[in-house]
Amino acid sequence: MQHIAWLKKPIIKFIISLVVVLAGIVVIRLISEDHTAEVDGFIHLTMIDLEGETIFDEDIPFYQGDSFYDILDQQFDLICATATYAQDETCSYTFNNFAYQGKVILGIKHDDVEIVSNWSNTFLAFYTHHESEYVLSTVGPSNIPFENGDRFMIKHEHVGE
Amino acid sequence: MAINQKTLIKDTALIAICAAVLLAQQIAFSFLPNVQLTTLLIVIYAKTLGFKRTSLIVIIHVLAYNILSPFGAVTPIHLPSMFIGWMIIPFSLATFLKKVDSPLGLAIFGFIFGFIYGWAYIPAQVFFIGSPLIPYLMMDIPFEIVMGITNFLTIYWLYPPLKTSFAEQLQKFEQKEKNDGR
Repeated sequence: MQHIAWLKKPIIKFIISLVVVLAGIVVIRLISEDHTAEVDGFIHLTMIDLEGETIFDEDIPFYQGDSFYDILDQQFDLICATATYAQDETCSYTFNNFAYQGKVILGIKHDDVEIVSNWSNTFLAFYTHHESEYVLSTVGPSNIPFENGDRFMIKHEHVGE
Repeated sequence: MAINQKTLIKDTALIAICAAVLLAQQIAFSFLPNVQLTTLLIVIYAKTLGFKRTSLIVIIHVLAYNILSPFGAVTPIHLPSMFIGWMIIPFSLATFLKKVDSPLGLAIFGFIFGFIYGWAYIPAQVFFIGSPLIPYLMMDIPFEIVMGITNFLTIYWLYPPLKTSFAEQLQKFEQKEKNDGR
Protein backbone atom coordinates (compact mmCIF):
# COMPACT_ATOMS: atom_id res chain seq x y z
CA MET A 1 0.00 0.00 0.00
CA GLN A 2 1.25 3.44 -0.93
CA HIS A 3 2.63 5.43 1.97
CA ILE A 4 0.52 8.58 2.27
CA ALA A 5 2.10 11.33 4.32
CA TRP A 6 -1.09 12.97 5.52
CA LEU A 7 -2.27 9.72 7.08
CA LYS A 8 0.49 10.07 9.63
CA LYS A 9 -1.12 13.12 11.11
CA PRO A 10 -2.65 12.25 14.48
CA ILE A 11 -5.81 14.24 13.78
CA ILE A 12 -6.56 12.18 10.66
CA LYS A 13 -5.79 8.99 12.58
CA PHE A 14 -8.11 10.12 15.33
CA ILE A 15 -10.94 10.88 12.88
CA ILE A 16 -10.54 7.51 11.12
CA SER A 17 -10.53 5.73 14.51
CA LEU A 18 -13.63 7.64 15.64
CA VAL A 19 -15.49 6.78 12.42
CA VAL A 20 -14.64 3.06 12.84
CA VAL A 21 -15.81 3.04 16.48
CA LEU A 22 -19.04 4.95 15.74
CA ALA A 23 -19.84 2.75 12.73
CA GLY A 24 -19.34 -0.34 14.92
CA ILE A 25 -21.65 1.02 17.64
CA VAL A 26 -24.35 1.89 15.08
CA VAL A 27 -24.21 -1.58 13.47
CA ILE A 28 -24.36 -3.33 16.87
CA ARG A 29 -27.37 -1.15 17.82
CA LEU A 30 -29.09 -1.94 14.52
CA ILE A 31 -28.74 -5.71 14.81
CA SER A 32 -29.60 -5.89 18.51
CA GLU A 33 -33.22 -7.02 18.74
CA ASP A 34 -35.66 -6.69 21.58
CA HIS A 35 -36.96 -10.21 22.29
CA THR A 36 -40.19 -9.46 24.11
CA ALA A 37 -43.68 -10.68 23.24
CA GLU A 38 -45.73 -8.48 20.92
CA VAL A 39 -48.99 -10.32 21.73
CA ASP A 40 -50.28 -12.76 24.36
CA GLY A 41 -49.75 -16.47 23.76
CA PHE A 42 -48.37 -19.80 24.99
CA ILE A 43 -45.07 -21.62 24.83
CA HIS A 44 -44.52 -25.29 25.57
CA LEU A 45 -41.86 -25.96 28.20
CA THR A 46 -40.22 -29.25 29.16
CA MET A 47 -37.90 -29.48 32.15
CA ILE A 48 -35.59 -32.43 32.75
CA ASP A 49 -33.63 -33.16 35.93
CA LEU A 50 -30.11 -34.57 36.34
CA GLU A 51 -31.40 -38.15 36.20
CA GLY A 52 -33.11 -37.50 32.88
CA GLU A 53 -36.61 -37.54 34.38
CA THR A 54 -39.15 -35.12 32.93
CA ILE A 55 -40.39 -33.01 35.84
CA PHE A 56 -42.47 -30.51 33.85
CA ASP A 57 -44.06 -30.76 30.43
CA GLU A 58 -46.82 -28.20 29.88
CA ASP A 59 -47.94 -25.12 27.99
CA ILE A 60 -47.38 -21.89 29.90
CA PRO A 61 -48.82 -18.50 29.03
CA PHE A 62 -47.05 -15.24 28.21
CA TYR A 63 -48.36 -11.72 27.90
CA GLN A 64 -47.49 -8.73 25.73
CA GLY A 65 -44.15 -7.25 26.76
CA ASP A 66 -42.85 -10.41 28.48
CA SER A 67 -39.33 -11.66 27.92
CA PHE A 68 -38.55 -15.39 28.16
CA TYR A 69 -37.22 -14.75 31.66
CA ASP A 70 -40.51 -13.02 32.60
CA ILE A 71 -42.49 -16.11 31.49
CA LEU A 72 -40.41 -18.33 33.78
CA ASP A 73 -40.55 -15.81 36.62
CA GLN A 74 -44.37 -15.70 36.49
CA GLN A 75 -44.68 -19.49 36.48
CA PHE A 76 -41.90 -20.66 38.82
CA ASP A 77 -39.82 -19.71 41.85
CA LEU A 78 -36.46 -18.82 40.33
CA ILE A 79 -33.00 -18.71 41.82
CA CYS A 80 -30.73 -16.29 39.95
CA ALA A 81 -27.02 -15.56 40.07
CA THR A 82 -25.53 -12.49 41.71
CA ALA A 83 -22.54 -10.74 40.16
CA THR A 84 -20.30 -13.34 41.83
CA TYR A 85 -22.59 -16.23 40.82
CA ALA A 86 -23.88 -16.77 44.35
CA GLN A 87 -27.51 -17.94 44.59
CA ASP A 88 -30.12 -15.21 44.99
CA GLU A 89 -33.80 -16.10 45.40
CA THR A 90 -34.86 -12.46 44.97
CA CYS A 91 -33.32 -12.33 41.47
CA SER A 92 -32.50 -8.68 42.03
CA TYR A 93 -29.21 -8.67 40.14
CA THR A 94 -29.18 -8.14 36.37
CA PHE A 95 -25.97 -8.60 34.40
CA ASN A 96 -25.35 -5.56 32.26
CA ASN A 97 -22.06 -5.88 30.44
CA PHE A 98 -21.20 -6.21 26.79
CA ALA A 99 -21.02 -10.00 26.85
CA TYR A 100 -24.36 -10.53 28.54
CA GLN A 101 -27.29 -8.39 29.50
CA GLY A 102 -29.96 -10.03 31.62
CA LYS A 103 -30.50 -12.61 34.33
CA VAL A 104 -28.55 -15.80 34.90
CA ILE A 105 -30.84 -18.54 36.24
CA LEU A 106 -29.25 -21.06 38.61
CA GLY A 107 -32.41 -22.82 39.76
CA ILE A 108 -36.11 -23.36 39.05
CA LYS A 109 -38.56 -24.58 41.68
CA HIS A 110 -42.07 -25.82 40.91
CA ASP A 111 -44.37 -27.44 43.49
CA ASP A 112 -42.35 -30.27 45.02
CA VAL A 113 -39.78 -30.58 42.24
CA GLU A 114 -36.78 -28.39 41.56
CA ILE A 115 -33.70 -28.22 39.40
CA VAL A 116 -30.93 -26.17 40.98
CA SER A 117 -27.43 -25.84 39.57
CA ASN A 118 -24.46 -25.64 41.94
CA TRP A 119 -22.65 -23.71 39.14
CA SER A 120 -19.45 -25.70 39.68
CA ASN A 121 -20.42 -29.13 38.36
CA THR A 122 -23.90 -28.66 36.96
CA PHE A 123 -25.79 -26.01 35.01
CA LEU A 124 -29.18 -25.36 33.46
CA ALA A 125 -29.00 -25.79 29.69
CA PHE A 126 -31.68 -23.92 27.71
CA TYR A 127 -32.74 -25.56 24.47
CA THR A 128 -34.95 -24.12 21.75
CA HIS A 129 -36.86 -26.31 19.30
CA HIS A 130 -35.33 -25.68 15.88
CA GLU A 131 -36.71 -27.47 12.83
CA SER A 132 -37.19 -31.02 14.20
CA GLU A 133 -34.86 -31.08 17.22
CA TYR A 134 -33.84 -29.25 20.36
CA VAL A 135 -30.68 -27.16 20.01
CA LEU A 136 -28.76 -25.24 22.65
CA SER A 137 -29.82 -21.64 22.92
CA THR A 138 -27.13 -19.20 21.81
CA VAL A 139 -28.35 -16.52 24.24
CA GLY A 140 -29.35 -16.37 27.91
CA PRO A 141 -32.92 -16.53 29.28
CA SER A 142 -33.53 -12.78 29.14
CA ASN A 143 -32.78 -12.69 25.42
CA ILE A 144 -34.26 -15.92 24.04
CA PRO A 145 -36.62 -15.07 21.16
CA PHE A 146 -40.02 -16.79 21.15
CA GLU A 147 -43.38 -16.83 19.40
CA ASN A 148 -46.74 -18.33 20.18
CA GLY A 149 -46.54 -22.14 20.18
CA ASP A 150 -42.72 -22.37 20.33
CA ARG A 151 -41.22 -25.28 22.28
CA PHE A 152 -38.38 -25.04 24.81
CA MET A 153 -36.51 -27.44 27.05
CA ILE A 154 -34.55 -26.68 30.21
CA LYS A 155 -32.23 -29.49 31.20
CA HIS A 156 -30.16 -29.83 34.36
CA GLU A 157 -26.79 -31.10 33.08
CA HIS A 158 -23.37 -32.02 34.33
CA VAL A 159 -20.56 -29.81 33.01
CA GLY A 160 -18.82 -31.49 30.09
CA GLU A 161 -21.77 -33.79 29.37
CA MET B 1 29.24 -24.75 22.25
CA ALA B 2 28.58 -24.60 18.52
CA ILE B 3 27.06 -21.41 17.11
CA ASN B 4 24.06 -23.33 15.80
CA GLN B 5 23.31 -24.69 19.24
CA LYS B 6 23.62 -21.21 20.76
CA THR B 7 21.28 -19.84 18.12
CA LEU B 8 18.82 -22.61 18.83
CA ILE B 9 18.85 -21.94 22.56
CA LYS B 10 18.46 -18.19 22.02
CA ASP B 11 15.64 -18.77 19.56
CA THR B 12 13.90 -21.02 22.05
CA ALA B 13 14.23 -18.37 24.76
CA LEU B 14 12.95 -15.66 22.42
CA ILE B 15 9.94 -17.76 21.39
CA ALA B 16 9.17 -18.57 25.03
CA ILE B 17 9.33 -14.90 26.07
CA CYS B 18 7.11 -13.79 23.18
CA ALA B 19 4.59 -16.55 23.98
CA ALA B 20 4.64 -15.53 27.67
CA VAL B 21 3.90 -11.88 26.79
CA LEU B 22 1.07 -13.03 24.53
CA LEU B 23 -0.40 -15.24 27.24
CA ALA B 24 -0.08 -12.65 30.03
CA GLN B 25 -1.90 -9.92 28.11
CA GLN B 26 -4.65 -12.26 26.91
CA ILE B 27 -5.36 -13.39 30.48
CA ALA B 28 -5.18 -9.77 31.70
CA PHE B 29 -7.84 -8.73 29.16
CA SER B 30 -9.99 -11.86 29.57
CA PHE B 31 -12.68 -10.00 31.52
CA LEU B 32 -13.42 -7.90 28.42
CA PRO B 33 -14.82 -10.19 25.70
CA ASN B 34 -12.81 -9.98 22.48
CA VAL B 35 -10.76 -7.01 23.70
CA GLN B 36 -7.08 -7.99 23.55
CA LEU B 37 -3.68 -7.15 22.14
CA THR B 38 -3.17 -10.68 20.78
CA THR B 39 -3.78 -9.73 17.15
CA LEU B 40 -1.41 -6.74 17.38
CA LEU B 41 1.34 -8.84 18.98
CA ILE B 42 1.01 -11.71 16.49
CA VAL B 43 1.15 -9.19 13.63
CA ILE B 44 4.35 -7.70 15.10
CA TYR B 45 5.85 -11.15 15.67
CA ALA B 46 4.93 -12.23 12.13
CA LYS B 47 6.47 -9.08 10.63
CA THR B 48 9.71 -9.24 12.66
CA LEU B 49 10.28 -12.91 13.52
CA GLY B 50 8.89 -14.55 10.41
CA PHE B 51 6.40 -17.35 9.83
CA LYS B 52 8.17 -20.31 11.50
CA ARG B 53 8.94 -18.64 14.81
CA THR B 54 5.51 -16.96 14.97
CA SER B 55 3.82 -20.32 14.31
CA LEU B 56 5.67 -21.83 17.27
CA ILE B 57 4.62 -18.88 19.44
CA VAL B 58 0.99 -19.42 18.41
CA ILE B 59 1.18 -23.16 19.17
CA ILE B 60 2.63 -22.48 22.65
CA HIS B 61 0.11 -19.71 23.27
CA VAL B 62 -2.93 -21.82 22.36
CA LEU B 63 -1.75 -24.78 24.50
CA ALA B 64 -0.63 -22.63 27.45
CA TYR B 65 -3.79 -20.50 27.42
CA ASN B 66 -5.98 -23.59 27.58
CA ILE B 67 -3.94 -25.15 30.37
CA LEU B 68 -3.32 -22.05 32.49
CA SER B 69 -6.29 -19.74 31.92
CA PRO B 70 -7.97 -18.96 35.26
CA PHE B 71 -11.24 -18.63 33.35
CA GLY B 72 -11.09 -22.28 32.27
CA ALA B 73 -9.98 -24.04 29.14
CA VAL B 74 -11.97 -23.98 25.96
CA THR B 75 -13.46 -27.40 25.16
CA PRO B 76 -11.11 -29.73 23.21
CA ILE B 77 -13.26 -29.50 20.09
CA HIS B 78 -12.67 -25.73 20.02
CA LEU B 79 -8.86 -26.07 20.22
CA PRO B 80 -8.36 -26.57 16.44
CA SER B 81 -10.61 -23.54 15.78
CA MET B 82 -8.54 -21.37 18.12
CA PHE B 83 -5.27 -22.60 16.59
CA ILE B 84 -6.45 -22.16 12.99
CA GLY B 85 -7.92 -18.75 13.88
CA TRP B 86 -4.64 -17.34 15.23
CA MET B 87 -2.54 -19.05 12.53
CA ILE B 88 -4.41 -17.08 9.86
CA ILE B 89 -2.35 -14.01 10.84
CA PRO B 90 1.19 -15.35 10.27
CA PHE B 91 -0.01 -17.31 7.22
CA SER B 92 -1.61 -14.24 5.61
CA LEU B 93 1.33 -11.96 6.43
CA ALA B 94 3.80 -14.49 5.04
CA THR B 95 1.92 -15.01 1.79
CA PHE B 96 -0.60 -12.73 0.06
CA LEU B 97 -0.18 -9.83 2.52
CA LYS B 98 3.61 -10.06 2.64
CA LYS B 99 4.08 -6.58 1.15
CA VAL B 100 1.56 -4.85 3.41
CA ASP B 101 3.41 -2.98 6.15
CA SER B 102 1.54 0.30 6.59
CA PRO B 103 -0.37 0.75 9.87
CA LEU B 104 -3.61 1.49 7.98
CA GLY B 105 -3.30 -1.55 5.72
CA LEU B 106 -2.56 -3.84 8.65
CA ALA B 107 -5.33 -2.21 10.72
CA ILE B 108 -7.85 -2.96 7.96
CA PHE B 109 -6.55 -6.56 7.90
CA GLY B 110 -6.98 -6.66 11.70
CA PHE B 111 -10.57 -5.45 11.40
CA ILE B 112 -11.44 -8.13 8.82
CA PHE B 113 -9.57 -10.73 10.88
CA GLY B 114 -11.93 -10.01 13.80
CA PHE B 115 -14.74 -11.54 11.73
CA ILE B 116 -12.67 -14.39 10.28
CA TYR B 117 -11.52 -15.41 13.77
CA GLY B 118 -15.16 -15.65 14.85
CA TRP B 119 -16.06 -17.73 11.79
CA ALA B 120 -13.22 -20.18 12.58
CA TYR B 121 -15.36 -21.44 15.49
CA ILE B 122 -18.44 -22.09 13.32
CA PRO B 123 -17.63 -25.71 12.27
CA ALA B 124 -17.06 -26.87 15.87
CA GLN B 125 -20.04 -24.90 17.17
CA VAL B 126 -22.48 -26.07 14.51
CA PHE B 127 -21.34 -29.66 13.82
CA PHE B 128 -20.20 -30.73 17.30
CA ILE B 129 -22.10 -28.54 19.78
CA GLY B 130 -25.22 -28.47 17.61
CA SER B 131 -25.87 -24.73 17.58
CA PRO B 132 -28.09 -23.57 14.69
CA LEU B 133 -25.94 -21.82 12.07
CA ILE B 134 -27.90 -18.63 11.37
CA PRO B 135 -28.78 -17.71 15.00
CA TYR B 136 -25.17 -18.45 16.00
CA LEU B 137 -23.83 -16.24 13.19
CA MET B 138 -26.18 -13.42 14.18
CA MET B 139 -25.37 -13.74 17.89
CA ASP B 140 -21.63 -13.64 17.16
CA ILE B 141 -21.68 -10.49 14.98
CA PRO B 142 -21.45 -7.97 17.87
CA PHE B 143 -18.47 -9.88 19.32
CA GLU B 144 -16.81 -9.96 15.89
CA ILE B 145 -17.34 -6.21 15.49
CA VAL B 146 -15.79 -5.56 18.92
CA MET B 147 -12.79 -7.72 18.05
CA GLY B 148 -12.49 -6.03 14.65
CA ILE B 149 -12.58 -2.54 16.15
CA THR B 150 -10.10 -3.50 18.90
CA ASN B 151 -7.75 -4.95 16.29
CA PHE B 152 -8.12 -1.89 14.06
CA LEU B 153 -7.42 0.64 16.84
CA THR B 154 -4.54 -1.24 18.48
CA ILE B 155 -2.76 -1.95 15.18
CA TYR B 156 -3.41 1.52 13.76
CA TRP B 157 -2.08 3.34 16.84
CA LEU B 158 0.40 0.92 18.43
CA TYR B 159 1.91 -1.05 15.52
CA PRO B 160 4.49 1.58 14.40
CA PRO B 161 6.05 2.34 17.84
CA LEU B 162 5.89 -1.27 19.07
CA LYS B 163 7.33 -2.70 15.87
CA THR B 164 10.20 -0.19 15.92
CA SER B 165 10.93 -0.93 19.57
CA PHE B 166 10.67 -4.70 19.12
CA ALA B 167 12.85 -4.63 15.98
CA GLU B 168 15.51 -2.61 17.85
CA GLN B 169 15.56 -5.08 20.71
CA LEU B 170 15.69 -7.97 18.27
CA GLN B 171 18.58 -6.37 16.42
CA LYS B 172 20.53 -5.93 19.68
CA PHE B 173 19.74 -9.53 20.61
CA GLU B 174 20.92 -10.85 17.24
CA GLN B 175 23.99 -8.55 17.23
CA LYS B 176 25.00 -9.89 20.64
CA GLU B 177 24.55 -13.38 19.28
CA LYS B 178 26.94 -12.61 16.40
CA ASN B 179 29.48 -11.02 18.78
CA ASP B 180 29.29 -14.05 21.09
CA GLY B 181 29.94 -16.28 18.12
CA ARG B 182 33.28 -14.59 17.26
